[in-house]
Amino acid sequence: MKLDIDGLRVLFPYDYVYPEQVLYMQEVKKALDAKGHGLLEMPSGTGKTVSLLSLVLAYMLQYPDKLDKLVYCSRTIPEIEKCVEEMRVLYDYYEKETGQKVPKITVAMSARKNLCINEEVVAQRFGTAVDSACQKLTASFVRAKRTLDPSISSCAFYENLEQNNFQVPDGVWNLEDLRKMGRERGVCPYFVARQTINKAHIVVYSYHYILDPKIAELVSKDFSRRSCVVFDEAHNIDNVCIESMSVAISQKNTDRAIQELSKLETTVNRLKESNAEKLQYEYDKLVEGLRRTERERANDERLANPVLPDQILQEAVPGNIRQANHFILFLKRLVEYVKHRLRTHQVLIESPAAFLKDIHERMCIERRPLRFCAERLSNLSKTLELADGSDVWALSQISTLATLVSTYSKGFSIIVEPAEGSQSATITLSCHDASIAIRPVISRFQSVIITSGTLSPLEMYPKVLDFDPSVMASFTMTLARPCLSPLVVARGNDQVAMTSRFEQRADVAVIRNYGNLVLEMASLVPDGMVVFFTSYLYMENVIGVWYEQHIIDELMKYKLLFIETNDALETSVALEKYVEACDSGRGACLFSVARGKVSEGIDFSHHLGRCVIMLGIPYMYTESRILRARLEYLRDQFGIKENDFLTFDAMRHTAQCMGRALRSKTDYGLMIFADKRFSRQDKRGKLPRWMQEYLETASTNLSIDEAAQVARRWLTLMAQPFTKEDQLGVSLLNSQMLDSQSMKKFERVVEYID
Amino acid sequence: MAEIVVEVTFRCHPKKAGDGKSPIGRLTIFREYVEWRDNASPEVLTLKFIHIKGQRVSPPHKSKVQLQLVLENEEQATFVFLNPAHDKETLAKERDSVKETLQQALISHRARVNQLAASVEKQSIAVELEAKQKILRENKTLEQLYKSLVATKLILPQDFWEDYYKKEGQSEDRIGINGAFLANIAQQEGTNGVKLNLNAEIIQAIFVTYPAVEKKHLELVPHEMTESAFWTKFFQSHYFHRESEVLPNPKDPFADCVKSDEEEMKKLSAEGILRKRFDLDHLDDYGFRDFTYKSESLPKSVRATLIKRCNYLSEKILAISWKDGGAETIAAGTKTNEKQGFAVLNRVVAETENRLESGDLAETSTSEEYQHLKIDEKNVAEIPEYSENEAETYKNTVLRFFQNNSNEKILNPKDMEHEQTMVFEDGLSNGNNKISENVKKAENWEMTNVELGEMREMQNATREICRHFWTSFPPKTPEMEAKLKRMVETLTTYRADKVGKKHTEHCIQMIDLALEKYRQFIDRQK
Repeated sequence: MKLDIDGLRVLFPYDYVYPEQVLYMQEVKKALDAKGHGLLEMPSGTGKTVSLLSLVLAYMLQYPDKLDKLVYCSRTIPEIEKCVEEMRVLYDYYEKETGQKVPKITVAMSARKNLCINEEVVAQRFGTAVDSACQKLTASFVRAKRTLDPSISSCAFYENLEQNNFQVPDGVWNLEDLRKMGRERGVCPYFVARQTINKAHIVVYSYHYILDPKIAELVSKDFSRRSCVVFDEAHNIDNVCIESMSVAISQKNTDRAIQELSKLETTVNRLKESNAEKLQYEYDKLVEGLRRTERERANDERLANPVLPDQILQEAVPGNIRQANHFILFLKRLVEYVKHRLRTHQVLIESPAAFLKDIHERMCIERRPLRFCAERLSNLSKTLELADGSDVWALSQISTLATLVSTYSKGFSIIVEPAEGSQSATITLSCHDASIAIRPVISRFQSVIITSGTLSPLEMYPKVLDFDPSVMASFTMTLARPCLSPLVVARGNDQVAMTSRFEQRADVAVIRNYGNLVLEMASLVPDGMVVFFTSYLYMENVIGVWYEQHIIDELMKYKLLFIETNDALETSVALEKYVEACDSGRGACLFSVARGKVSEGIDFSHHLGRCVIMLGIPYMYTESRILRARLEYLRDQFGIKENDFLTFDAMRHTAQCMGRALRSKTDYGLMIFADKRFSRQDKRGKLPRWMQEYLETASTNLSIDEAAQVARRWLTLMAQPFTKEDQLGVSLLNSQMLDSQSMKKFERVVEYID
Repeated sequence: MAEIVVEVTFRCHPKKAGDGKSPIGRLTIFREYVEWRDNASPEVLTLKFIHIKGQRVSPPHKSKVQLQLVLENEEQATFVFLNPAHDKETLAKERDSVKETLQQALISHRARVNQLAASVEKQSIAVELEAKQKILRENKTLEQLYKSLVATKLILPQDFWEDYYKKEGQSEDRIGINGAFLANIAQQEGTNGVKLNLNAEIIQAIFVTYPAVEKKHLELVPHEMTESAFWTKFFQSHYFHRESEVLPNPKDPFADCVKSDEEEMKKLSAEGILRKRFDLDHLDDYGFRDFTYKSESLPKSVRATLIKRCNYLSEKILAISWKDGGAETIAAGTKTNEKQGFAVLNRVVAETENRLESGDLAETSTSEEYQHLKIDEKNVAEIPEYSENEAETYKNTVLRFFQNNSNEKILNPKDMEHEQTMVFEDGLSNGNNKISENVKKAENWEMTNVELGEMREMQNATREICRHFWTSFPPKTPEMEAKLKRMVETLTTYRADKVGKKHTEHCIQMIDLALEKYRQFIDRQK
């Protein structure tokens, strides 16, 4: 259907549209018009992606001079693939409507392990192993060597790409399409994608390619300024930013670094005897400066510099680390110093400045060479022809730390923790300021849209990310039937309060009540049911108690039980079996952890999650020193109160877990908040609007029995057939219903936040 | 088939549950069954292995030496060994040797059955047969049809049943295992601890879920311990208590079960994840993280074992419901690495997985099945036109008919013309009893009752064959074409053999029409 969004003609690939989508497109258009940024919360399952794509594509086609690129960043591979598929639907629709193909390239991009088609390489399966195997075949010096010695094996796909100037035609290129094309044409899909993203009009990839400065500099640096960057599912974006700027080095890592250093030293010495010119050549080049050919850099993202290099590339490498053996000595001193710091018995938190002062006093290491450390190491490994970056990974960790600590004086702390029990001593350079990683993106690109199903409370994000959005809005969900049913269960049938408060959570009565709640729900909810715990440790304890109380056995009477573990593979297997159990109609219950991998990446749509229970409020572990340091920083720098931030974080994860169950308007799911503290307005008020609106005051303080009663009634209601006709006009519109008169009644759907 | 494995030529004494007196006889073990012959009377009791669930022996302190066979239907057959030539100890030995032989025979029988995946097949065939028999019993006309068509080999049974018997998915009516089978064990508080009552069902569930335990059971019972001792040990073992750490206790017979279970768990993990969507390692696209954060082996927590075993138990229980289907697919030579299950389900799953977020907006194209009709322009339907005279006559006939004739008379075939008789025949063939009751004299058709019945039967049969013919016309698939050919042959032979008696014009007409159509079809194909 054709939509008129504020004067812009938008082709929307379906005959029906949700009112939220129309309003959402209006907001996105505002942001694009203003060349500003946007922060938009839109409930999951209301077709965010397709609205965004339709609007931005229409905008690009009609105002090519205002906007020429869309960079769509998502979180997981399936999300990326689905986004590209939505785009394909849109392309097809354009072709049908206008009679001609869309003159734009849409391309998905992912790591080698998802794109490689060289069977020997891809057989390595794991990300880093695939990367190494690829680099051993395609690194520039390996290829240079091959001209002398043809027996060195090569990758036919890569060579083919190098020789032929291959251009991807207009169209939609999902990961599978790239692989298929690669096989047909005999070219490497990964490098095709890498080349294509620069000229493609729509790029879909993972956050990290643009947020992590180490990778962004290599992959995304040639993007046009007039781009619109979208971060979907971005509720956790601040943590991603921080993570990409933090380094932790344990005792083990330093031991390994020493081994790597000695190997490096012998290689340097050998090279000195056999091929001294090469080292001399490297030295000469370093005098000139650090600019190297693009190709060489682009190939290897693992030894990349963690700091935005433009500041560095202008300068020459300081004299005292130019000579390879001098640099080795320098590294030795550095590693020795880190080792020395780890030999402590007390926890120490200090600023980067204090760290620099100390290292200068003890080791006579200055700030300037430290800054160049990462760059110099990657340089050396090139000279020494170390194709496999994993030969020096511990060293590169340490040099990353050195570079970061000497570059940023604000927003970071050094935290030294001595060995404790099985935990080995660790030195952490922790980033507290999410804005450091995202600032280059926000300042460089014209529009940055941050969107997710759960961004509440919205006002926290501009503070934490330190930016000023021109549009900030939250959308609710128009529903023809109350397909989400949030219930706050505050007490057991014995009236004992249910809470995961630290003082009470170990109480047997509380755990038993939690068990009774889970049992009660398992007995009345059909198909799948997901239970989230506040932390892994707490889950283990509760399961232990439940086992002794025979609650686990009782639960098995109703549903099969699967539990998330620390091990990703084990969890995946359990998860798949859970899905199988739900699919086959047997029904199952999944125990999972808030903030865990399952809560972040897996959707439990329809029968996979008819009920989600959150046992307690998932506060972060507040005793963590890293968190404490961050809280302090947020308080001092942004004026965010400690408690506000903690509650914000707990509530966004709660909302995230709850949102897993409801993935579309035809879906339905019970959401049970099992903690008495959820009844309080200061917690409840921080949930996304679309959840709050369906949380009735009557169900904010229920006992287990009462909740079961409500749930029973609601489930029978939901089990009735539900058709498009029921929704039409209420939560679904066709082209006749789009006039301003009928849109007026949806005014309330969008709420602006100043 | 009935190869004798061992024949025990001593006397024993069967006691079927409920039997008052107990005759004396001889027990023989065959390859596929156990037979007991009464010495005094010709009575023979045969117990097929497939019906035997397990066996039990009497405890040593009991005065009688007994062997009990537990049957699938929960009945028991008890044999008391009482060869007067032997003392109790020898009897017990004898009993044990019988038990051992029977056990071996049972095991090899089960293995055979499993190997051929025949157990499922047999079961389902039996079920199917039973269901079909029931259908025939309940529907007399159908039974007649079956007799006149299938029994005479005019129509293949599968062709016949294709319309009347809907085969259900075999795996779908299999019952899985209750998730709480261990928790459901009836408990009694005894004087010293708890007393657990196990029944055959629970034991079966334990065996299927923990194959290692079954192996142990075969190994240990009855050589090293009695049945009850085995189960006591099982429930006391650390193995059963999922939360406890594995202790290499040499006295615990289940210590190595844990090991074999762990191997199985590893195997499960190694099989990997088939649906990428749920592979947590696949989800994330941050290769760099593996590089920077090499995961260090986390300390194993105390509860990890419990959690692992919980997952394992559920996985195992789930796997059982898939298992039987799986054997078939492998036997059928299809891809082995494909997840077995319900085909329909796999399709649904694939659909949901490929579903886009905005999928709900797409017009659910209710793909109604239209049948494309091709109408030849030349085939114009004839509208019968009557001359005025003719029309008048017909009208008058009808009017007269209704004015002058009572209900009774309408049914009187006397002044009916031939065509109208045909109409009646049709009515009769539909089994309209009322009419046939009212028609008192079959002589009016110059037929006896028997002849009438025969005719009815023939009419039905013809219609049935023709129906088969028309349903597969025009043939769209090779199978349909084959069927069509079969039907044409049947029709031709049927016409030649059966038809040709009185009042078969209609039948012949029907058959000729079909054959004519087929001829046209063949011509057009050429």
